[in-house]
Amino acid sequence: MADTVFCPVCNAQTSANSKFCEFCGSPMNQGPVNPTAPAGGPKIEEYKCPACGSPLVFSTDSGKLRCGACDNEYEIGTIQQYQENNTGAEFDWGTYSQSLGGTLPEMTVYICKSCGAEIVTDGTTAATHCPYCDNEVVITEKLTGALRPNGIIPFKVDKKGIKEKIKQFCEGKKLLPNNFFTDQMIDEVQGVYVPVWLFDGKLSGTMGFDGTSTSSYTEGSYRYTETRHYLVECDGGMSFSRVPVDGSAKMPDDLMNSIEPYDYSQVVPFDGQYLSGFLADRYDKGPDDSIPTASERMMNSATKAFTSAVMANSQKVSSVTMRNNGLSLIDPSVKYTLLPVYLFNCKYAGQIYRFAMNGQTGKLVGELPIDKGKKRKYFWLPFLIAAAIVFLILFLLMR
Amino acid sequence: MKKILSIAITALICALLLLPVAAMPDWYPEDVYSFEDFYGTDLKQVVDDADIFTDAEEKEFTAAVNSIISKYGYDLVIFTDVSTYGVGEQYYPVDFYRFNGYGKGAQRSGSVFFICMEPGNRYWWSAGTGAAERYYNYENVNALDDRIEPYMRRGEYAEAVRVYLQSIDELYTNGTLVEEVETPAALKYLTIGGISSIVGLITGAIVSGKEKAKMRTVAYATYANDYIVQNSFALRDLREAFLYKNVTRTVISTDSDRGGGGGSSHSSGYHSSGGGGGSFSGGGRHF
Repeated sequence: MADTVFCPVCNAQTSANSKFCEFCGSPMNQGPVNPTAPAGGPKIEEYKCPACGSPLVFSTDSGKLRCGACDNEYEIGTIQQYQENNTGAEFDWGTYSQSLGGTLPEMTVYICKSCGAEIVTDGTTAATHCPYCDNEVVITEKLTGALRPNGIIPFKVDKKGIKEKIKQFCEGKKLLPNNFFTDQMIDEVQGVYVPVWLFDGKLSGTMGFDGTSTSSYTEGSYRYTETRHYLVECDGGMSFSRVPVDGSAKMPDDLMNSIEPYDYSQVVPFDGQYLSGFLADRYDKGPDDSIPTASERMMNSATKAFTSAVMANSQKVSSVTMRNNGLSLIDPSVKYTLLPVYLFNCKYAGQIYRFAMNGQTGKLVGELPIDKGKKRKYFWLPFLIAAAIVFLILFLLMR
Repeated sequence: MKKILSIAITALICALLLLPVAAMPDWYPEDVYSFEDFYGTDLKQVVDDADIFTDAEEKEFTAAVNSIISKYGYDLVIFTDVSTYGVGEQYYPVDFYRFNGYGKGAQRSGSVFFICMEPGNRYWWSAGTGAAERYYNYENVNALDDRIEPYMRRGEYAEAVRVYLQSIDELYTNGTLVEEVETPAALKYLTIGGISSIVGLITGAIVSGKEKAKMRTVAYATYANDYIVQNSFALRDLREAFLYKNVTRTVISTDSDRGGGGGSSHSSGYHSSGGGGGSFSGGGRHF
């Protein structure tokens, strides 16, 4: 009696060493089974055919899992790997708080009446306009106990050079209104230290892919196209260093993303003296709020790298799509850093256009207004020229 | 009694031996490889071995064929038979033309129109050689088929030959059987204008879109490629397990059961190796 167990599905007696029921083919759990109470036994894994989705049963003839609907047979181990579906794994960044510490010395805080931004400065710098929305700010109180940044990248680009940078930025922008940039607007440029969370970590684990290879051949009056499906798995890993996510809700993420990258080798320990003459935004998005963004960027890059590597090294498949993400995060850490950004807004035709420049590298980004007259011109002129040329060619050919 | 039986068996065997066994036509040479080309004399221009035409029809066709021969200087023969005797469908009419000594001039220019009435293998085939070969291109053979095929299907073979003779006259005169459809001027200009406008719209959209894209240099970052630690990526143990395969079957499209097709030159091996004959182009169809 000790050599037999009861199938938890059909209740039939089957060999204790068998992984699958000898009568109905259902998988037998390897754990202890109570022969008197099979209905309350272990959880049964239901395996489905990757080709058609029908239930698979164990074939005693072949020792494989067989699909009764499409007759495909699969190795048990392969199907068990195939069933694993860990897409969208969430990384555990739980240790980040260990890398943060300390508080800022007493600082002056300005609060924008319009957008609510809290602008921190050293007390010697006067903020008259909000760098984000251009409205007036009011001084409120001295700030104490704010989280002290781990580091700061000081401003490297001089404000005086911005005028030339803007001129270069506008070169070749044929749809720009003629009177857009004025000297007066350039005077409103403000240097702001933007709070940024820098995420470090290594992604390591197993990635699973659905792989296919296609071949075709001709036989008689038919063309046959054969698509072979594979379960592709690989182990691997990669490390990321200082993936930035801005901690300011007021700073548009796309604007901050667009002035990347910064040279983080120039990060220095935070000192309040670096704020002299500049403003600093106080973070209002904590590291917990920034984790999804950092994780998504890292995962996208990892998926791309794994996919490319699999395609380069595979001997069997010609295309792959990810089906199983088993990567986990190792040695995560987060650091709080201030990055230098020049911000300026321009009001044109009743709208505000926001620009940002990397205060370290001088990279300038922003959205420029479009002159509607020029836009029409750059549509209709090529339209007329191309249409006329094609009309002439066709007319001569069809004469 | 035994003697009578043995005599009867012997007589039966002798009788069986004397039965004809699918003999080739008289004109087919015993050794095609040593056949030497010649110009036939007193050749019939309508050879109805399948006996599908009346005497009056044969006379009518002969007159029409002779008229075409004298008008263009190319030979022409209408030939019918009840079998191809194992010779390839495309080669049998060509062999008939050659082994009977048809053809005009040094190139043996001319055409043959063949109707095979073999049960289960009924087809017509027309081919040209020498200076007439160039008329048998794909378009002309298709046009010829469009004209002849309805009569062949209805068993109106004489009418099919009449249409063929009219068509061959037209073909030699115009060089083509493809009727050019005159496009109305308004439709032509409308088409040209439409195509030009579409190209213009696409060009305008591309140019203005390109300029518009330059005005916005702000975008969300979705990757962290700039922050991958150099040489940190490692791929280990790539495993590929076969799961299953799908096979789909599609019919290779063909132009009905149209055979041969125009423009394809062919000749039997013995034609080319024997130094005679020459290439034929032609086409036809089963009916």
